[in-house]
Amino acid sequence: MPRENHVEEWIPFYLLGGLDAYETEMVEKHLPRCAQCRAVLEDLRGGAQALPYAARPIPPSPRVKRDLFNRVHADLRANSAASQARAIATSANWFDWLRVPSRAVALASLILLVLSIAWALSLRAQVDQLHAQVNEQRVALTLLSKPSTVTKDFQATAVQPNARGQLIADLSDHRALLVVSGLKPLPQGRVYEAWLIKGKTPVGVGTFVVDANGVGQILINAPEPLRVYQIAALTEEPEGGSALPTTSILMSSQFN
Amino acid sequence: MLGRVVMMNLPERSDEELMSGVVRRESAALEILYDRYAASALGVALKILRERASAEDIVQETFWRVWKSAATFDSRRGAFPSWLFAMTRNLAIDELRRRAARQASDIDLDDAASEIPDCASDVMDAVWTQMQSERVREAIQQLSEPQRQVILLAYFQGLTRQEIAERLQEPAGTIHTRARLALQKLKTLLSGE
Repeated sequence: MPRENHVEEWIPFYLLGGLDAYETEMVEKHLPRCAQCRAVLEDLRGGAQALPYAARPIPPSPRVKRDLFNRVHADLRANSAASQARAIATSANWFDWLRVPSRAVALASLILLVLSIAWALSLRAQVDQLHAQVNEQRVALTLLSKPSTVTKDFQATAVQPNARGQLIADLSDHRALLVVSGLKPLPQGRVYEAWLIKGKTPVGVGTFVVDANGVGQILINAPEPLRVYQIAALTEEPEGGSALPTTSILMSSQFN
Repeated sequence: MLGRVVMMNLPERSDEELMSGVVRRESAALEILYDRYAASALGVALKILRERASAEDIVQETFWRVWKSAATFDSRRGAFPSWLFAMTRNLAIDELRRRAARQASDIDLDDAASEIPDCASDVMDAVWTQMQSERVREAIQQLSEPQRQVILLAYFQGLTRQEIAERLQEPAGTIHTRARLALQKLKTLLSGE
């Protein structure tokens, strides 16, 4: 706490978002009961509020607005359908209610509306998935174009000796692309999981499945730069991945 | 000329009126706010993350939260742009911290290339935003290098006061003074226009 139990010294960083959680809490508790510190806050606020404009404004691509308003309109439709559904649910007697043909038609329309929304949401999920894939490809291309990127053989063990793979990585970065082929397609509920091993500690960095030809890929995003890990490895795990490897290593590559 | 452009750009509906519309679930109100501020929000996110795809995701998430949390906006606690940009910055800083990729690279005010706003529905809004941005960047350039460094490290790289003191190897008191003087000078420079 700054001197004399005031928070004046912290206020510039409060406005800049540069206090930790404890300090922020202290400032927010102090301000309502201290006119002196509030005056400092008001004196500095104008300067801090200008800072966002220090970044050059860049119009987002049309996709951003389109995706946003697809979500907004889906939200409006879902809320509207939910409101109508609630209104219907409060009717005392469904049977009597439905005897009126216009209401039956309204109910049928509502059901159609709900089904349409569900369909739209499912389409939205597919679009989101495609966006994620495109983004992943974009990151992979960026990785491939970096001069510091290296390619390491991902070698199969005796468990699946026909498997082949390559790990494309910039060891100073957190991301790597693992491409494999010749792996056995797995039954439902099973996945391949990639691991990075630091000392004796394996860290799960993602799961994937292979297609009918045994081909698969995963974009790894490690919690630390890749150079801190010694080994990358692959195991078979239950869907959702495991906290630690539960089966034998199928493929691996040494970083150093 | 500046006065004329700003006068032409006077909005028909204030941000607060538009936010009331958003609370009433008027998507058209959100669209006007988006057209008014999305470019500045992307500028902030891009400056923090330095990667366009992620920065655009942050902008979309920011405006989605405006839509979903409009009722929590209280104009008595600050203007709409401050609320919006704080949300943009916090989301971007969170993403930056998730990546654990803080780099000690120099801050370049011009690192994000300026683009011609080809998709803004209101060209005058875009012109005004560009002019406002240039004015603020000119003011920041008039700060001393140490003052500029402190406020930009805090705002655009998400460093705390203690982290800045450690990085610059200066006492915390010196960092506090630089930040305070920088914000005071910025306010003076900008209000003197």
